[in-house]
Amino acid sequence: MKWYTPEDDTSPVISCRVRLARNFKKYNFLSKLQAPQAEEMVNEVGGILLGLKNTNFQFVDIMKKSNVEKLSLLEYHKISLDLLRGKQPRGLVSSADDTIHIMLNEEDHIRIQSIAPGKNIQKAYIAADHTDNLIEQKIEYAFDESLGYLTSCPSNTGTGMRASYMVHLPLLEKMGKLQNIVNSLSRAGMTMRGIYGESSDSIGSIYQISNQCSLGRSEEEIIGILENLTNQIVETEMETTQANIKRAPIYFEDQVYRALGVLQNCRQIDIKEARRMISVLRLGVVSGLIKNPADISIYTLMMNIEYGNLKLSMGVDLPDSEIDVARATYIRNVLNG
Amino acid sequence: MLCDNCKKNQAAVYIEQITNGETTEVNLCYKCSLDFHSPMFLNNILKGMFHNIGEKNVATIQCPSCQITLSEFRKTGKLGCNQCYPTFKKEISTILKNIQWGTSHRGKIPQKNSADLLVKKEVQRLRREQATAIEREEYEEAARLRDKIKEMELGGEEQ
Repeated sequence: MKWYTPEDDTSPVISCRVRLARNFKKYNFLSKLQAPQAEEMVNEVGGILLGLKNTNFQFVDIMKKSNVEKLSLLEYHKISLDLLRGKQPRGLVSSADDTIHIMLNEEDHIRIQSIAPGKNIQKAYIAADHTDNLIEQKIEYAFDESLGYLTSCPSNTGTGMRASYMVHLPLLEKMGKLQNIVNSLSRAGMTMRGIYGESSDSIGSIYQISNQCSLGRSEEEIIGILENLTNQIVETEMETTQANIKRAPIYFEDQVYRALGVLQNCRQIDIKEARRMISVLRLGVVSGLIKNPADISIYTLMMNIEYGNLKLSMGVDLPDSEIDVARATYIRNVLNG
Repeated sequence: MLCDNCKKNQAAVYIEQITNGETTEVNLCYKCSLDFHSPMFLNNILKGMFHNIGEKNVATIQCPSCQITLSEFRKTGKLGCNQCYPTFKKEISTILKNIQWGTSHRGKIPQKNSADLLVKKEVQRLRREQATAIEREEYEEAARLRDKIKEMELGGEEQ
């Protein structure tokens, strides 16, 4: 992910994303779409996107990718688990700069995803909206005057939009404050979940804050609510960090330098420990205690040590029994320059 | 560590999930992880809601376009086509009231074939602004908005 740079390690906010769900009027939704029509639909949208002027989209033939390559796309958040597991003809169209990924025939016919590093949700929305306008000139969407964009699942209807911030919240997690935050978010039609699995507790302390509701408010209103609530959560995380440092500076320093020591010297490390240690390292960098010793952002490091990405970079023939050794080697190389 | 499912291969993928407040941790090899179907969080909520809807004619109500039945929709939480929305209007409306902010779309409208709708939505938006202006006793602004609404409505008729 070339656009994640070490400069992004200055705030609990890692990145933001906007997803727009759209469907053709003329085709059935996924659950009732026959394979030949699904293929026709994927080719039609693929053709439209690749034929656009002044854009640089590439078609990724997901059906021909190996399992490890598909897993890697998932770990970089370019595709969803549903697209990876799907049995129907499906596809992925990505922009050359890696900021737009359009999943074809996932839960809906078209899912435009736009990602930007840091606090840039407006930028991500403008890019997604622009791509949506380009597609809309060529096809007729399933749209209803009163219900908005019609989607396969009624939970996405209306704007079809899911806007989210990915945030690193180690202190709020440690202080047991997350449940209260989730409850407050839920009352505002918003939600927060750990990015690793469905759990409310996520190893690596990385969470995604997003709108749960999609109908009844405009895109701008949804983004406004998300910005406002994310700002409050992030400020609380930073205040809690500073209060903890002030209360026990040596303990804080000890934790950060221990994590750095483990990561720079380990000879084998499983994914859970690696995520935990890298999370502490990021906290140390964001709080200003240490400088990021790597030339990639800490979050990129966290993604690169996942199973699929590691296998792709260290050799697909790597046996699973040696994956923890390979992970340790990779982390040492990155952090020791 | 061996895979919790096949007990043969080395576990490589770690999955955590919460169901009814209980956390389950599973360590799987890559092969088994592909077959692991974690229940979709939202789908479960939806399925729970369907139980509140009357049980009459569940199997017989069917979408004329894609042939999906109401019971199929209840089971999966997924609709078959855009015609399912008018077909299962009552059920969908109950769901939307429970899970959404409102039941009326206030966001983006496709530009193509929607000139009349765009005017209508803009007039609705201006009326909301006008009501707010009156509430705040900003009568000049309210009068400006009233004229703008009139202008837009006349423009729409001429078209």
